[in-house]
Amino acid sequence: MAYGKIVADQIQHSSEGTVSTQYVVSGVAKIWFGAPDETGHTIAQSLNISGSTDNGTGDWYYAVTNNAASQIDDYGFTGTCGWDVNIFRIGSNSTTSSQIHARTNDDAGTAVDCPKYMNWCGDLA
Amino acid sequence: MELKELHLFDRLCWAKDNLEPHQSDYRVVYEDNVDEPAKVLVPDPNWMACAMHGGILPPVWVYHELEKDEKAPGFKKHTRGYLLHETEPMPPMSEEEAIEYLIMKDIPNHIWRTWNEGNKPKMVICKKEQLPQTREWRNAWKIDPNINSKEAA
Repeated sequence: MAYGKIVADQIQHSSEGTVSTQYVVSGVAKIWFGAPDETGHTIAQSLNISGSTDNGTGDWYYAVTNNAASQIDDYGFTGTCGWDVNIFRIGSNSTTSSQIHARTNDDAGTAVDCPKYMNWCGDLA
Repeated sequence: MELKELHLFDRLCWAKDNLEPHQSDYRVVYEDNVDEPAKVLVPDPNWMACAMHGGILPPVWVYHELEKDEKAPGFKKHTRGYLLHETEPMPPMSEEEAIEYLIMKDIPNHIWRTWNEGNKPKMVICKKEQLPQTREWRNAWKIDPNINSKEAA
């Protein structure tokens, strides 16, 4: 099986102008996952994730397959939680280039289990 | 161009489009600190498909090398990312071999290298049905100290 590659520095739309492919590559999410099962025993959808580790209530590691160029929290991410008033956050000290330390809390700061979804944009190693 | 010649991220994107995800029933339970609850490693289904297909994932030593680089004083950014992309990828693995690889990739070395030293096993591979079915007492989960280490293996 052959795997083709198109090399181009710009993409031009027929009427809306031109964009550098550098921006396209930089703007693509390099890591994402959806874990709708609050027990964490199933990752339903993902890209560039090798597994999750359930550390306890509201406390998870997500390991990546293609490391980030530097610590994952050096870049930007978005995350959402299922259910009401839950907060998705990333622990900075324990996040590396290959592991995301994700925590979910209610609005009083108490750790809670809930469905969670995340994506990340940044440079890969 | 062959699959193994692509950047690792491109191989993962190809796999997502072309391979059926594999939801493994295996779970790896381990303890890293006596004061913390047991942790449970859950394999990702797309990653499992990559491992079982072969020709996609780099050897696990590549991750250990990058981890060493990251732990070095003054680390700012990886300079040996090419190891992920240019090292000959792993051949197809069985489900069990993939779990062993994942243990060495995602569980700290000091756990899996010495899993059976001490008063009780620090790590157990089990099926998801063997875990507690509710999370009511999640922060009290521990590996049973009476578990037979041969069964644990």
